[in-house]
Amino acid sequence: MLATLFSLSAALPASVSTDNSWINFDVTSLLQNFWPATFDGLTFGAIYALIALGYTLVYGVLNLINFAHSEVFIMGCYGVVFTLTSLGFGPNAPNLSIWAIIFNLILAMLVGMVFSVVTAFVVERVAYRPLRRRGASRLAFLITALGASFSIQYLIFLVRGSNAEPAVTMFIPTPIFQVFGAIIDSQQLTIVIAAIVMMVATDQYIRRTRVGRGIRAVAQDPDTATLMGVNKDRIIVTTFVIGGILAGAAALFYVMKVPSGVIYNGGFVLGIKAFAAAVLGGIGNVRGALLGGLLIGVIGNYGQLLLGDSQWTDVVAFIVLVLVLLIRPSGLLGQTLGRSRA
Amino acid sequence: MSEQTPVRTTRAVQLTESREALGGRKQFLGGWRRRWNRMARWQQWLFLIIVLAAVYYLPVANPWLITTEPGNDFPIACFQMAVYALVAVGLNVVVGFAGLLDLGYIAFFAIGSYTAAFFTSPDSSLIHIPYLWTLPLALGIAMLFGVALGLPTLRLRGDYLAIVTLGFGEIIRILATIIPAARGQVGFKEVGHPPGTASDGQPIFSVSNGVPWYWLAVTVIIVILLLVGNLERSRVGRAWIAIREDEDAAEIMGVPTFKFKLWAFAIGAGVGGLSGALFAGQVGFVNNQKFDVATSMLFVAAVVLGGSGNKVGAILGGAIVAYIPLRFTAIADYKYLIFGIILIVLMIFRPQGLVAAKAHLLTYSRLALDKVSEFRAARVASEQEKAAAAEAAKGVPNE
Amino acid sequence: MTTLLELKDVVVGYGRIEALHGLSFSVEEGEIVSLIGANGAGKTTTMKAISGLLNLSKGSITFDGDDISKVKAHVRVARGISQAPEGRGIFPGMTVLENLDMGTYGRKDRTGVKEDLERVFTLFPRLQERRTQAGGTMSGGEQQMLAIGRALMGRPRLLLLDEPSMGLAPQFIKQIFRIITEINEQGTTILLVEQNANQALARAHRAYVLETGTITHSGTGRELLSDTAIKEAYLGVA
Repeated sequence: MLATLFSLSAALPASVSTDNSWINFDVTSLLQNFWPATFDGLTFGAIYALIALGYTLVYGVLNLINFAHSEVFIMGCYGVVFTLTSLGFGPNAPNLSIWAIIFNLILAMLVGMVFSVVTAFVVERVAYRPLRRRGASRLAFLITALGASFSIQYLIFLVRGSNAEPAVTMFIPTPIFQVFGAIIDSQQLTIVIAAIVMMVATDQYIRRTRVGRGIRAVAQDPDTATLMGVNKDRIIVTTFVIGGILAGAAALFYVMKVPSGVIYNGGFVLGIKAFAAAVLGGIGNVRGALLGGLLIGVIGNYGQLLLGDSQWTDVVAFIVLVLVLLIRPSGLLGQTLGRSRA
Repeated sequence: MSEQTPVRTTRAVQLTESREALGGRKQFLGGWRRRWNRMARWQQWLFLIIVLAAVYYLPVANPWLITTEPGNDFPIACFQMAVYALVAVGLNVVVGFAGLLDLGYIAFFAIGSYTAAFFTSPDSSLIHIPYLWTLPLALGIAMLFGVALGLPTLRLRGDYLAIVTLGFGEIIRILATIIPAARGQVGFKEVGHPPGTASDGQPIFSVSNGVPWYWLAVTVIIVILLLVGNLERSRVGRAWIAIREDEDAAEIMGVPTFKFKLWAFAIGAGVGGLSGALFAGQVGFVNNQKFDVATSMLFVAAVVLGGSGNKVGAILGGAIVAYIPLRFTAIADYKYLIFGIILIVLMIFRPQGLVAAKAHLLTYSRLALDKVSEFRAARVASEQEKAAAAEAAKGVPNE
Repeated sequence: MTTLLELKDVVVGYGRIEALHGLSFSVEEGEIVSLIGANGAGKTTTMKAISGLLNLSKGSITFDGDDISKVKAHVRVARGISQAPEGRGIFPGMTVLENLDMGTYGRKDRTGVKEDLERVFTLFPRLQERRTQAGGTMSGGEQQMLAIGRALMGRPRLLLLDEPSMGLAPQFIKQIFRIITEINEQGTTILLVEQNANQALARAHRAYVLETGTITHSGTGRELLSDTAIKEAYLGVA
């Protein structure tokens, strides 16, 4: 099967080879594992999509790439791991009834969400709100976002050190059915279905509720939104909180998929991939984030098979991002939350 | 269609402008600038020569209190400060002059280092060239990468450039790990150095001797400063400032913003590559462990801390960011956290950094100052004349 | 008649540049008051100060007897001040109905929203025809109708109209002003800011002339309309 996909920088031993080649293509591997890689990619894609929503929503209302969102996500992962560890989960899956497992997972997800939401809230209050008050330049916002991202990363580093958290396995995936000879297991199914449900809920929330209308109004014209009686500051906090909730959910699924992937800088590359997903689907577009996430997940897996190393997924995702910006910067589904339609 | 700053509402604009209005009066180090501008040319030259002499003498003097020893060898620390200063000068062209946020500057630094390694290390199977030739080569190759990265992104809003460069910083490190020819962690040993042998038979530019490396780096900085300074005062520099202040307006006024943004980005990338090659030469060894994105954040911190848009500020910022962890080794582990927090605090309380960028256009600044004072003197003189004439005129009928 | 809105010595600045230097005027309940002036006289700044988008450096604004100078903009909407902003401020990605719905955002009572919608559609039948169209795709005149209709959806006590005639064809201008009078007759107090002095003065109960941040003339609409100085300066009559 496919190994874990995420680069944990220091942990990877370099191959000691005298090979002087640059890039090798392994087409047979891609063809042989095409369907398993597709479904596995969709699972990762669902996780990217949940994170991508956080970028997309904040970008919609603030026109800002919230670099700290990757840390909002990784904080959620710590919340999940701490909860599960204290509930007695470890490297081996516990022998519990299915209902007990579901209860524990939901509890872990809620704690993860709280961790993420608190982080997002603090970042908004401490870093971004003072800048808004001052009417700072876009550059100032981006630099602050960068500072916030690295501050949180290295705060975690100080507390938890440079190693990944011990693995937590939640349950052993059991095969459910087969498609094109590829086994779909319970884990993949859980992640994809849960992620899609959450995304549909978010989409409906923004389309149908009063707060959702407020979010769209601020995204399209903040001053006029205020004249309609929208409390802009509260709307902005709300979008950070929604992003945090989704990141917390993504955290649970990520730990489920990559049990030993929780490390202080683990959010970074995932954040880039999630952002690439948001841009691919059309930044500001909730449905686009889902499509972009799934595509990035699948394309990344193909890249890994074709090129041979798991770290190629990151490179491939990055190349997709650059190509999208080159060919269709508004993304596949266009940008809807924001004002670009005007 | 319209480019929007993050929720820049009317009230926000109102506040900025009032703050800017206040900012004029309380400028930190502002007094220095005024004094500098009032100096005669020869005084400025004399001052510069003294400063330069002090800068070149620094590692030899190894002054008490300032020294980084016993923790870190002082001449080598000086060299690292110089490399950071050079990086900051290059990044300042991108961030400070053109207002573009390049978060993957480490990537260009890495490209420069690998260029030096590929063409000088015995571990590389490519052709070998003298080390000094790799400096311009690294500059050129990094510039090419800069253009390749800038072409798709610079037409779009600045945020896209920020995230793409941030990704690029990580991607280069990953590529160095997974492409077999880049030799991953094993890396390249015995990267070249400039020629010359000391009396004891050791090469002058040895890994352990920081002084000549420092002198080389400072000399390179001076050359780059002269080139960048000339650009800054030229049409290009004015275009950059126009783009930084209001890109849409610049575009409407006929400034080919894309072209000039690409130039700024490519020049920045080139200087990054150059500093990478210098660094690789001194360390003598290049592998995939040295180029993490967190260092990119330090580079940005250097520019922002010093004062983005100001060359002197950039040098100062670069030197400070390199110096603090070397001097105060106890807090070296916290440097990313410290500089991350410094970035946030600076943006909230002092976005212009230690040395603020000059508000007026540089081209004619000195000339204009002279002209204005000439004009004032002339007007005072003519008024006195008029007054005298009026007195005289009044006087006539009385007589 | 009671005073609904009163500005006292209001000073507003953008940085060092002062846009309003001690502006004072009032709007009585049930009136249409016009504020006329040339470009850069401070008309839009006055509107933004009243709606709370700009802070006052000095002076006070009283609404219905309460000092609202420090009240946040979105709260002022809930108190009953609605604005159709300069440039119309239509949400381009929302439909006409959604835009109108945004007008009720600050409202505390949700009862009567339906009647208000009926009322807006009666005033502007065109909006009913276009109700599912995206706001950004409508013509300037339709957007202006939408902006006024949206402001009415908040059931305001005071309606602020910032240059409703800007960029509109002459027959549209007449229509808009006729509707403004109609809205007023239905009981809404209106403060109107205009460059089109002729119409604005003809429709107003009272009017003020704003010149570089201060009031230079005031009187009933008719008085100002027949004032020779104002004729020369604003009505294009020599």
